[in-house]
Amino acid sequence: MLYIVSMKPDTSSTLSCSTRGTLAQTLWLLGMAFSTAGGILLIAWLKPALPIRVAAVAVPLVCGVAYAFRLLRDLARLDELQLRIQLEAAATACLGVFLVTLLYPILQIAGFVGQLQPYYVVFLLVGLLLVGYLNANRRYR
Amino acid sequence: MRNTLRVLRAEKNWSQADLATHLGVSRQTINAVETGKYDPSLPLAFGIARLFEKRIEEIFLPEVGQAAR
Repeated sequence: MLYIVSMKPDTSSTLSCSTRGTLAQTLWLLGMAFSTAGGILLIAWLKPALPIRVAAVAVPLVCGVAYAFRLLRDLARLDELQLRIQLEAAATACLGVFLVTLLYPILQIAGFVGQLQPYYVVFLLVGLLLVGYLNANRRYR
Repeated sequence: MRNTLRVLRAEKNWSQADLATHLGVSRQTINAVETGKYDPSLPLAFGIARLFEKRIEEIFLPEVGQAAR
């Protein structure tokens, strides 16, 4: 998930730490998304040999790991208020996913929702994280 | 918690951004502390006190009724 970063001002370069961090995270995440989509299409349509399939899996994996490292590195540079904001956003997201996951079986049996797909959880997590971030950020503005 | 940060900052003629740079935090943090929306951590409170050469309790004051807790 995309992590919204706002860090200490860095006056030593034209791009602030915040901008560089967010840009790098976005690029790695987009790289992962596009290489995943590309890999799926490549494997499904061309049915390539094993080395190509391994490469198709490895590229998004590398992008994902790089994204995670970048995110954690940027997290360590946040100041205490930003950490609190991120914590509140993460708590909102975890709580929302927890409740929905617990309630999903009864909603499914009652016929209100269909079969649970893994990407539903991802969308829910990202959406709630964003809502939590914006809410906490507004409160401490 | 109340604080006199805005007054102390004004005495030095610093902007919130200036103070934030001195303390190594974001301007948003300074604003949130000044407006009482956020209570700083102890290290940050000590940093503020050291910067203004005052004791912490001269800068940060409990709300009425808070001290009794």
